[in-house]
Amino acid sequence: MSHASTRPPETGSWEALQRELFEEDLKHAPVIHPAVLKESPIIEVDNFSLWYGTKQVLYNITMAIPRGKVTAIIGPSGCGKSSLIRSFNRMNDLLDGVRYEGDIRVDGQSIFSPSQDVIELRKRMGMVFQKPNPFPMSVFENVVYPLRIDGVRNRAVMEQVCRRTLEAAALWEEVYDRLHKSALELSGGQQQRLCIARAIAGDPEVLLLDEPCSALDPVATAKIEDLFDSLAGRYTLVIVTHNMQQASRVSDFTALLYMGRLLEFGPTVEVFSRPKLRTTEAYITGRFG
Amino acid sequence: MDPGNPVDSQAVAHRLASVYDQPEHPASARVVRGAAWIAAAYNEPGLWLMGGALLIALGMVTVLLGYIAIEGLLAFWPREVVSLQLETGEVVCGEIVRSERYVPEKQALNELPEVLKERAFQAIRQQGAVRRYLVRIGNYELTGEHFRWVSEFEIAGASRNLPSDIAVFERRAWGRFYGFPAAFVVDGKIVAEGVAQVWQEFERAHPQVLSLWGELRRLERVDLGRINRRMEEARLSCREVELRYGEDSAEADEARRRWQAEQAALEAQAATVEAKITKLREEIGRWAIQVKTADGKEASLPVGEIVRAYLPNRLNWWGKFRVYLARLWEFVSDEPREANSEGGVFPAIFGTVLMTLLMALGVAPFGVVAAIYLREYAKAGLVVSAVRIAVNNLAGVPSIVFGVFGLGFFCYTVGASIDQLFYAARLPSPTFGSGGILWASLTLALLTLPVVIVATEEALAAVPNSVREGSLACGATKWQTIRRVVLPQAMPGVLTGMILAMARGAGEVAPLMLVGVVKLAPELPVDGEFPFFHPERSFMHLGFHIYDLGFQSQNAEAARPMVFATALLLVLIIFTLNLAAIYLRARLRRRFLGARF
Ligand SMILES: Nc1ncnc2c1ncn2[C@@H]1O[C@H](COP(=O)(O)OP(=O)(O)OP(=O)(O)O)[C@@H](O)[C@H]1O
Ligand SMILES: [Mg+2]
Repeated sequence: MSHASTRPPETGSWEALQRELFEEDLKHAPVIHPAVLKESPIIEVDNFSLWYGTKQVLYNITMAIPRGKVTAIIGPSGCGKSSLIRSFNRMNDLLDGVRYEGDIRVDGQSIFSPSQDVIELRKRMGMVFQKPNPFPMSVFENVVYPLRIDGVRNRAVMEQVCRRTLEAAALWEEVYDRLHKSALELSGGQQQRLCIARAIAGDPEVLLLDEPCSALDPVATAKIEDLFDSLAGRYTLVIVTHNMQQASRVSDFTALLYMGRLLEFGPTVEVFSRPKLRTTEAYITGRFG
Repeated sequence: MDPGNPVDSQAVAHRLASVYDQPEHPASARVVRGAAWIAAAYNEPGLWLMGGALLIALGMVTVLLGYIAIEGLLAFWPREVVSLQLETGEVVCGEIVRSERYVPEKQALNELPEVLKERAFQAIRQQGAVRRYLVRIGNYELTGEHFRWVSEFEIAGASRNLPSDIAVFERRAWGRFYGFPAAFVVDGKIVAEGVAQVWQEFERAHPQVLSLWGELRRLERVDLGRINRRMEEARLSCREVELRYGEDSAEADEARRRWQAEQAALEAQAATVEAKITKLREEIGRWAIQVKTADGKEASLPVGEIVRAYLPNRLNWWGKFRVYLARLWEFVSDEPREANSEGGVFPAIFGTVLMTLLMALGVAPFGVVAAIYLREYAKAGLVVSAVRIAVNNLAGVPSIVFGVFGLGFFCYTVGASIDQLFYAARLPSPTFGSGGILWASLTLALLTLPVVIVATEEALAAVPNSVREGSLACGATKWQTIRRVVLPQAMPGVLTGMILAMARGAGEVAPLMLVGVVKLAPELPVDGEFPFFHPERSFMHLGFHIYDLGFQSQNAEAARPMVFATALLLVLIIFTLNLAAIYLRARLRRRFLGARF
């Protein structure tokens, strides 16, 4: 950073133009399409800023995630997408030296208020990570893990949940005969679907998905995208993705994050076909960085 | 580098060329064909060094283990008994244990009788040294020695013969006896003469006498032992009353009266048992075997004293093997006799295994909990780093220091307090206040704690954070995450730590000498007597047994093969314990980690 600032500003290059565009756009940001405001919000991010130590990674984010819809968060690598969705279920609490300002509310309740039970919050939000992280147990135990930690002991209930969630995650057909084998023997794509099944087994209201398909081949990705379609409506989905096609295919709303700032947030169709900011246009058409 | 300078760029090009040429260096072409690994190691002095060091280390370990294994396994093989006619007219008869070449001292040579001197000088002139044999001559009550050196030049005509009638008697006391069976005696009357008949009679009577003897042992140990314990209990309960109400109180008087009555009853019981024992002794004493030694002396051996007897020079290979197996079985299943230099080491095997398992039970929870706290809960900082360094240093503390600590803390502080609280009646004789298997196990648990902590910490650190996050994101608490996800995945690593700890603990001797190991323990720490496990009892240990046999034994030569056999056994036991743990770890790995990755 310091290196860049000591350099004399170059003119006439594509990078310079881009920076100029961004600085221009920042004056208008964030651009929030009116359609978003009509939705009933489940997660409200209110002027939220985040620091790792002394390094600020999120700047005054204000947005409302619509209930029961699929929201995609896009943006270049390192812009703070993961940091943002990890804030929703307070996974950032686990890191040392994290500091934040502003507020995030779920159903109108501040998640940072002392009365908020973090465990309860996380149970309301299933999370799927970029890399599949199955536990070192059987497929069955993986899926019913949220029930186990809730102290459920009824075998029938667990079997039912296992079957339902595995079917929802389009995995049942592939694993019904190896439920009691180690989950680590599954393929990467199966493992990721298993993680999704696990995330919905706890019956959350929101699913936070951080680049869930980045480690998968197109076939597995397609299966998981179908899965999102079937989950939409029942759950609120927040998907972080680098894949523009994926965002346009699966999401109802799209938010563009750039350098820790929210640039544009609106219905996916509008953001992709009629972006209001030129940076957005540059980013989604791939003429970027 | 200045590209404008042609000389310079040429030099660079040359250097580059030489670098690129390296793989085809002419020297490597000279490498012997077929020795690809030499080619691989070519130009890799580090590889040679590492390989060499590994080879040397492996070689030393193999030689040591091989030596122990061979000596230990051969320890029980029955040898031939030779009879040596000496120039002096003496006859030396026994098993040749080993031989060596030596040059006698000047004075010893000069003091030799004339005939021998001549032969000795000749031997030295011809070969530069004299060969001598260590002969196990036994017959301690007649000769006053167990072993004797015989020099080659002492033997008349260098003749050795293997008398086919000679017998070896292994006895409960006084060591082995070598002699010719002359007569078999029952009730003072000779019932058989001549080797064949005597031996037949002996082999018929021996099993019977052995079972009588077993009965005798049982009476002495179990029945008399029980009566003695009852007497002790009666005394203790009386003492308890005295302690509670004061020695002059009416209750104490009453208790004393009761005690005396009980004591009298028990003494009567003891008398009947002792009468039985006396009768059995007489019964056993009816059989005896009369033996003539090689140098013409006569002795009468009570059959009850004989553990095992055989005619060594008549045994074929199978017969020797049977003697070998019998001795081996005695070694692992029986108690020691003759100051540990004969018999078995079963109590030591038992003590070693039990102590190691107790130690593992003791060290596992503490080590794992400490490691979990350090790795998962404690905030990284100065204090945690200091604790970690301290733990690592603990691993370097000499083990005897742990022994001293164990003695001071467990025996004299904790044990003495337990005695004060619960065993006051027995004082001043200590119960928990002196060394015992519990304190020894805990001392070793302390000693091996750092190993387990470090291994567990590493295993925990190796569990990827993504798995922890996955569990927390499901709404699990930190403890649920650790217990259900992190620990299972770290378990193989924890077991590795346990394996290392057990290997270290089972072989440790120095601290044990202070906290409970004894040369000869009268009772095992586990027996049929309530409460079946007696953690306060001192115990025997193979490591200490080796030390005791090798360095404290009166009869060092006889103990020598036992040292090797015991060492081999200790190595095997540690190996087996480790194998069990490794098997467990492999099973866990299979269960948790599957075939992938
Ligand atoms: N634990 C951390 N400590 C310090 N800095 C961090 C930490 N995690 C992330 N960052 C920094 O915060 C910024 C945002 O990171 P974040 O992971 O949110 O980006 P992202 O948009 O998810 O990127 P990507 O698309 O590559 O996953 C990055 O500059 C990153 O270097
Ligand atoms: Mg990310």
